[in-house]
Amino acid sequence: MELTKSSPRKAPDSWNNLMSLQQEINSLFENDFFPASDGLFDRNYSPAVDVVENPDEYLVSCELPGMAEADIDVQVTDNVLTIKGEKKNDGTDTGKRWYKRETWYGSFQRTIPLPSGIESDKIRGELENGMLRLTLPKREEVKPKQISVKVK
Amino acid sequence: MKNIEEKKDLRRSHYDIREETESIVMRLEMPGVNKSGLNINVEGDKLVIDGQRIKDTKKGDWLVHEIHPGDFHMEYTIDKTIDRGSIEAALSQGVLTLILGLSEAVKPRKIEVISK
Repeated sequence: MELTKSSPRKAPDSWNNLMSLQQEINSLFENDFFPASDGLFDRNYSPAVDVVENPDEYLVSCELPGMAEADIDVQVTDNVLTIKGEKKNDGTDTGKRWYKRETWYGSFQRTIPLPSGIESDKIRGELENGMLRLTLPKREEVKPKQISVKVK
Repeated sequence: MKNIEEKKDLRRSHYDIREETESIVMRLEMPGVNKSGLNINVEGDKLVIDGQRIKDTKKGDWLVHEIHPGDFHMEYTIDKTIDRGSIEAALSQGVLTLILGLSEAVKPRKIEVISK
């Protein structure tokens, strides 16, 4: 039995790791609302997250392959969005011969600080094909308003 | 098959490969891929898996951008131990499970010893 991978593989690069640590520490001193990369105090597994702001809402996407709705817990307290969950082992991996093991099981937590002005009652979320998509609408008073000025 | 040089924004998925008694089981994490975007081909000794992601239509200012937007593309070389006719695939919750059946010649066979 022979399995060969032909796509190029990223070797662990300790210099890059060091640089990313430096970046994370630097970003702590910047007064950004959103973390530049994975939160330094989050648990070791951080699923990738996208956050997009548009005039009406914030859109958050998160990659959660192999997880069901019951495994995921999304909370908004004050202005912090927390995506928590546990990736459960499907129970098929005992006493087998492994050629490759890259996927990961266990619990994770992502915290994303949000600006104030989120309508926390109207947050919607859906999980499809291993992608979690959250829509966080802004409160009316925060939305940019266009005031038309009449010119006489 | 798409040319890799033409599609530079491809990404690889995290995967597991394990051996069962009569098959090789592959598990590939492909979040954002649905059944219609998935394409699995066996060309000779090559197993090619393409997973086209549902295009993200979010518009606005990006505040955090960690998710690689590219489509998944994985290529493996399989040898004669894999029975080309018994490859099964299942996709659920963004995880693709491929069951590659071993050919009869490599399956473990129990030999009965008769005592005389």
